[in-house]
Amino acid sequence: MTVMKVTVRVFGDLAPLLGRRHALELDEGATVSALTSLMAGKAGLKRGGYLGSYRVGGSELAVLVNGRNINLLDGVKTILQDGDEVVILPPTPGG
Amino acid sequence: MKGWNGRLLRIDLTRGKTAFQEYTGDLAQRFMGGRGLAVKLLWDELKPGTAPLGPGNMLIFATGPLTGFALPNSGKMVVASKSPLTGGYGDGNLGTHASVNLRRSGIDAIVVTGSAEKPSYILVEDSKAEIRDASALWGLDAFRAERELKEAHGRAAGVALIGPAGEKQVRFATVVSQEGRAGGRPGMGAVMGSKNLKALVLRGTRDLAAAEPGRLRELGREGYQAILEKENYGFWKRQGTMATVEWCQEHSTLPTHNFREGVFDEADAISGTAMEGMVTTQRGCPNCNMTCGNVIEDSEGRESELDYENVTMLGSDIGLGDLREVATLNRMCDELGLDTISAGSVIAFAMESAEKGLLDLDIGWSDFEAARDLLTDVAHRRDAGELLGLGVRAAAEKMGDGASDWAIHVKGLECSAYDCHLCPGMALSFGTSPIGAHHKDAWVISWEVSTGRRTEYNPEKADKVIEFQRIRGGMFESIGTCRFPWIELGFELGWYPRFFEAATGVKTSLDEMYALGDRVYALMRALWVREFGGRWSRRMDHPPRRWFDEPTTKGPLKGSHLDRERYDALLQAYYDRRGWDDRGIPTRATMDRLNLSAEVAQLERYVKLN
Repeated sequence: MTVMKVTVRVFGDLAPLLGRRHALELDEGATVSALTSLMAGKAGLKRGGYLGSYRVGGSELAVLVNGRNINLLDGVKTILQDGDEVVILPPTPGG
Repeated sequence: MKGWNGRLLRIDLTRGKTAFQEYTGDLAQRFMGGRGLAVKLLWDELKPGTAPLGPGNMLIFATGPLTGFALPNSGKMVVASKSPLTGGYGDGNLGTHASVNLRRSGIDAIVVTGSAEKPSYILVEDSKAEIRDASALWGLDAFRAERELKEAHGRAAGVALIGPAGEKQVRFATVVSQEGRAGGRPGMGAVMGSKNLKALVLRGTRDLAAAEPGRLRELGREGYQAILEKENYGFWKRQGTMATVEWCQEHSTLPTHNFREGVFDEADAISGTAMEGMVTTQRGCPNCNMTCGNVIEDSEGRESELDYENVTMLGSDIGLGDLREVATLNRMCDELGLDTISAGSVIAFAMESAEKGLLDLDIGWSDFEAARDLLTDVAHRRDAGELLGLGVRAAAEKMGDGASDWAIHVKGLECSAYDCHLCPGMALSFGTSPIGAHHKDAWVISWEVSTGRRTEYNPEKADKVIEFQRIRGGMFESIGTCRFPWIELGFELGWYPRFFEAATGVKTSLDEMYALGDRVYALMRALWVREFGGRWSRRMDHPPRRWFDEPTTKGPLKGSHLDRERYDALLQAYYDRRGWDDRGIPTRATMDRLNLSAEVAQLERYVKLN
């Protein structure tokens, strides 16, 4: 199976947990869900479908693919492409 | 009454008189304190059409019934007046030892009227109030003047004061305290300056009387502990609100170049992550264990207390990507007594006006030196600062030639730091904020953007704006505690009725708190309508034209812009839910439902209610 490369940047309180920047290799056709599972596994997180306390695809954690929220695409089933940039953004303090 | 002191201090600076006045439990329970009490006093006593900078205007410093108790983040007071920047209701809140000392002086609020013949300050020591000569302090910056007042009256004194900008009546001058705390964006500092009032100095030594002191103490202890145990407390302590720079950049909502864009090429350099390596200490308000003020050394070697709004408006919005230089501008605003948000917007407006050849000023994007000089000129109202000290709306109107197109404000108050080219819910929040474009009432952007529904104009967004306005603009602004434990860390709202009951002995619920919020909102809106009369229009609830008509040109969401018709429909949904008519004015039935029947007759002198 062809391998594709995806870069990931992580922000907020998830950065210390997952690491701030990643260059990952995934099988062609991999989804956002597969990506976050891989990252959770690498960080030793055991709760399926979650990154830290945030549910992937839930209303708090934003996952952007090339600047677009996956909730505007196909959610956690969004299929990634070679060269995609993924951003993982927990809700912000600030207001 | 328990919890409340039940006393106001009235000061007439024209006549040089001070007087204490008892007030009733009915007023306290209907309007609570803080913003609620302030708007009620303005409604009852301010003559409509009063010049904001004339002696007839009222300046109110109002605490809430929880202010000063040993409860989470209870160091707040509201400063309110008719705004010289907007012409409508204006207020702001600040966390300061002045709030606690005010309460411990046995009073809940200070109402200042008139204008002193010479520079003055007000000294309150428990039951004694006097007006003193401040001639020697006039002209001093807010940091130095506060140090001198503490030298004279002791370090335990709480001080709220103005800098040179307030003295010169810059329309966005604030009230400052503790060298970095500030409040009153819509020119509350200018009102203070117009009264020749440099400072309030407060020393209170009384214990606050709670209905159930033991229970209140225990609840406070448990509340503080619960905050410490919140999952994201550690990250909050590292970056505070500054984490929002990265969040906004990634979501294309970071105001850049006078809100033309939502992304900034140098965002990394002014981010919370960049700041982490520079922080020398942290500061907070009294009774707070979240200390949101991150202090770094600025480019001039001075301490500067950063948060998201300041850094963004004095950073990306003027194209400046050096955090220590941004920190210098921020610290200067605090010293001069200028609102950092409006100051950033005014600098950006000047940069764009100069770029377009409409302002004869040598200032380009990211020009730190020119921005620094302009801030000083604005604070002292000299050269271009004379015009720009009026704020962007009035400055643009005087300049003409289309300058209003890039004056970024609502109702005259400059927008705080969220670009809304693709955030109709947050735009509605700015549009319907009761003081003009400020985020403190309904900060819905995190909810709106994170859910990925930012393109929608769903009426659910109007519900969310109202929900936040009730909680933040109603409850928190009136009880005297900070919203941050709840909004930033998820400290549960259910704590607050429990705090309130233990303090006051009055049974309540969150629903009753929200009803209070609706009452206060209706009265603030009534005050605007009373002031504007036939000039009032729903167009005043629209966000800046730029977000509709000038799409962004950068970033992954380039080409974004708001849709005017759909925004207007969302605004109508907001009115419908509030029980306001299609002019945005509460109906008679709504006023009755909110226990505001007595205010209807007064309002109907200015506008016929539906």
